[in-house]
Amino acid sequence: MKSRTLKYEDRADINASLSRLVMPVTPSEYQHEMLTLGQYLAEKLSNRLKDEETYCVASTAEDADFLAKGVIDGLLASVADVKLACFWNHHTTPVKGGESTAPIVRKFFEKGATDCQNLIIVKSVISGACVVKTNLTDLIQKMNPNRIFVVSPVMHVDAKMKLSREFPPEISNKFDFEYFATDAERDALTNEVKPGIGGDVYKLLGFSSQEHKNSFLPELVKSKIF
Amino acid sequence: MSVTDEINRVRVELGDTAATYLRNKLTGGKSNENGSRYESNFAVFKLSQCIKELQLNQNRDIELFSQAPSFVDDFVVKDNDLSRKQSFQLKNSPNISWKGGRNPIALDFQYCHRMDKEEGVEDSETILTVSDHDLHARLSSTIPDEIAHHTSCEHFEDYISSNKALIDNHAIKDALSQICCINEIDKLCHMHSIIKGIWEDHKNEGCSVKDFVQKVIEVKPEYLRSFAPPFVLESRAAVILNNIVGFSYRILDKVLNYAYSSDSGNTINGTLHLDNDSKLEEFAQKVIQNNPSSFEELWSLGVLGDL
Repeated sequence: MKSRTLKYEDRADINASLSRLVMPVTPSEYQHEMLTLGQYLAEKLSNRLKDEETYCVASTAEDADFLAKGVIDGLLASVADVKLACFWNHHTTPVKGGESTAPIVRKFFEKGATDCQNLIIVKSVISGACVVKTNLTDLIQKMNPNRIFVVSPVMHVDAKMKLSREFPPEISNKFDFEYFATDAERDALTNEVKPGIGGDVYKLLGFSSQEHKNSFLPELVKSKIF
Repeated sequence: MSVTDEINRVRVELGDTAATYLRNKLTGGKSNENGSRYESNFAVFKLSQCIKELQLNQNRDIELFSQAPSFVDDFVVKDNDLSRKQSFQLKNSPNISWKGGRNPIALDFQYCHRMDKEEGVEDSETILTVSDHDLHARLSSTIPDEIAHHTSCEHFEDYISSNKALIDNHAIKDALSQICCINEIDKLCHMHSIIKGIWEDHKNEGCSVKDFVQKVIEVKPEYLRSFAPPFVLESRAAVILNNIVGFSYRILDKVLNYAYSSDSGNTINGTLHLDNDSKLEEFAQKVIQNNPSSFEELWSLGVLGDL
């Protein structure tokens, strides 16, 4: 793992959890690991959050019940309120060799989510930042957060720069990143970050395909919409 | 037309000096990375406008060229129906003048217009498009007399990120909004990526807008407006959907856009792509057969769950 830089070298628990993501595990074990990492991310964020303020946690559908749930569980006791926003993206490269895109095919907003004072964008891995860019852009059309936390267990070393250049300075100046490792390598075939989170997150979480993921309603959303 | 053919044509029409000048200009090396990006962004802008024209009238005969062997070669739109040719010179630099440099713009515009006239183009326009705001103001007010009757100067701001440009309400947003059935930045960005990708693959070939649109359609651009009348949902299905409390839908061109608001004010909304009316028929039949009375029942049918 020479291309990996750990942010918290003294936290054996966090780093062990990161390592388990890249080992052969069942989807259920992988989901549990993501939940745990979400709780660690909430712990690391907590001293930067204000207990009297409200926070919108924005997640992709695939991360909602695991990583995002971990973050939300970890935050509930320490801030005034936490609301959920959830996005289903169709992430592709429509023209071979061109730019990738991730248009939103469905979105969920808990009542009050866009009225929150701050925004926390949660993503299992931030590589080219395409999905985060897309969902954040949608959110800032509806809300004006004071601070924007971008949290992920693993990011590519260029992800901060890539995400920042997609926004005007009045937005990117609000970014505050939290992560446990940065990776410099990419897989030559899939372009996924290496070692990253062990490969294709849809499959690792138990989805058969992106289409399967996009037909799925997370429990977190189900409990709030039905 | 090949480079040699055009140089020979210039020699006949404008003489040896102009022909040598064109040869040197065409072999003088082209744009750097910034120039290339600017040209691609501008192409997406103009193409979006042309695509709208064509989608509204399938019979329009509009051709596009980039880097054609000509005095003004960055981007050319040739409208054969109107015998109109617009030749764009693109400059992504603040240090430009009409008459300075190795290839004075005024001379290029003059030659270009004369060659168009020789070719029988009735409405020949030469347009200098610049990225710098102040430069635009300066050059607009100092167009040399000898080219003023066919020349204009336009401002088109450069951008590195299409997402940022769309957030900033750049002119590209309005152009893309005209051809997208959903006016949201993620959809516009998706369309930008498709048009740019196809343009960069084919820009040196020269093509009709019709051929270009066909290439775009081959990529299955879910949000491209067809400008055809929208599909209509079977009335029995419409009645059932209208009776679901909190649920609403609209059919925008070939996209069904739905929204649901729960009793507690939580909302979900999404899009369903209708490639053809049989997909909508299938949707309607499932709704009619199962007669859902709540959003939960509708969701459980799986009709809102895929792409």
